[in-house]
Amino acid sequence: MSRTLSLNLIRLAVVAVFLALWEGVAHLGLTQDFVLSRPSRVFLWLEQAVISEFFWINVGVTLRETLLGLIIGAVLGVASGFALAHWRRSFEVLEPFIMALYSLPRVALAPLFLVWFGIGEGSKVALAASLVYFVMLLNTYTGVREIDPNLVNAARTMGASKSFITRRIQLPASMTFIFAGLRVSIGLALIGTIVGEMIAGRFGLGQMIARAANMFDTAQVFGIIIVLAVLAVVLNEAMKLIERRVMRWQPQSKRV
Amino acid sequence: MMQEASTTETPAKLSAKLRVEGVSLEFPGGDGRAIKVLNGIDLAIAPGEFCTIVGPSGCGKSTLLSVIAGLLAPASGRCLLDEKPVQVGNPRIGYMFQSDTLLPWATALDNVRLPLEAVGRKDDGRCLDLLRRVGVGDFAASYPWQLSGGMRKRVQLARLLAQEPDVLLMDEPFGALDAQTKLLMQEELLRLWESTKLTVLFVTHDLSEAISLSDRVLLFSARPGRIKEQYDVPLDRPRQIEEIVSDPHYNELFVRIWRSLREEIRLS
Repeated sequence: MSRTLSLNLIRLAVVAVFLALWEGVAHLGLTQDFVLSRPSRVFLWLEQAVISEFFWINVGVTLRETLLGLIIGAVLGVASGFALAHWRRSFEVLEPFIMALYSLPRVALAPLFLVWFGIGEGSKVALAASLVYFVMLLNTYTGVREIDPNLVNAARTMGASKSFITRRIQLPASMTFIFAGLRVSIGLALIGTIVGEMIAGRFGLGQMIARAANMFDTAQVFGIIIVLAVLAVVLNEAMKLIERRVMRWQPQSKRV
Repeated sequence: MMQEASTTETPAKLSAKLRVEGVSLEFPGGDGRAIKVLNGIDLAIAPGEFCTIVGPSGCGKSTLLSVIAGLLAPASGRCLLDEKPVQVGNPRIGYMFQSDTLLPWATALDNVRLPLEAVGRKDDGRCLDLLRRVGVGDFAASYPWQLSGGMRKRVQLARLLAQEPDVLLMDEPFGALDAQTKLLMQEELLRLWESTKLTVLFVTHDLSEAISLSDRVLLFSARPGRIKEQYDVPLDRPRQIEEIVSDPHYNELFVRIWRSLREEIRLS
């Protein structure tokens, strides 16, 4: 039996034991259903959800907001990181402000984003992007600063222009840091989107959770949490695929 | 045969390929005071000459190469290529760094293409040819991590030649290699130099390497670096690396330079 297969079997067993305990506790009446619900009810809800159009519309909305927030935050963050690494003085000037905004719980900005970008998808995308932006900025900045200066110097002695050095040396050289940031950013974009949806709006999995919780429909809350976990895993795997494709020059041992 | 070590004055050469005039440089020190790194360097290298610089660590010999390449601006003095001031990014001056400067995400061929692409050119046939010339033609599609240290140096040599330089500045290029690979690379470099008539300024801390390769050895003083002495190497060309060490001229020169170098190392 291969190592991965046996690992997966053990994982499956852990899940089965966990679900059995949970079901047993609820079955024996040790907890009330609106507190913990039970696996059988959660799966019943999931069964109905996957055949309902309403559910898929909400999944689509959340996915779109998350991806848009991720892309917008990442593109702006990488661009800002490069700009600040290039004009180092500007980073020195802006550093305390960047760190203040970075450390600020961006969720506190949600009400402002609602006013600025409306109750629709815009405010959720903005919140997700604002979480992603600073991580990508700081990671890219560090990545560019960590580049062996002689790689850049070698290109300079060849007569390479600044834009050539940015494209052909600095961008690929900082890719490791950019991808490390992107992996963290998937989770952050999901947080931004879900929190945004929970605060206000009409669609999205966050909005569904908020409504279900108001009605003490704990089975549905757990069901949506499982859907979100699956979504996060799928996004992470997709990112790994992209990373492997972009970084295929790397030795096997260093790959994700 | 053996010529006396001359003093630090610039030799009166009619045509210098590379000329360094009164170059001085300071770095800001930790306590706010400036540290003088280079102290009035005068140097003239004839076309096709192979010149090496030896000196104690930290004497500024690598720094001088950076100044000549235009990567560092001197506090005073100037560097001339064919009697015209040097500017950074002139492809006619090739620079080989001590550290590995191959792009790790690019194949050997892509690395050799780089200097051409940097100036908007493309000539894959020539790039492949260069890889073959330095003996790594079969590894054009390999990434640097798949190559040994010696092979990476060969790819770097091919990349250096791809930009069609007249002058090579080489900063301890073989310093990190094991002894055997180093000898192979020295042979390779001599072979390339003999067939190309390039002008070379080569920095090393390996006295034997300096004598084996060059026409002239410049001895740098301890910091602030200045040219303390120069020695003409009276060995015939073309040279065989393995035969040089048994040449009495080699041994005599080695001892003379070493005695002088030792004083500087003790000072530094």
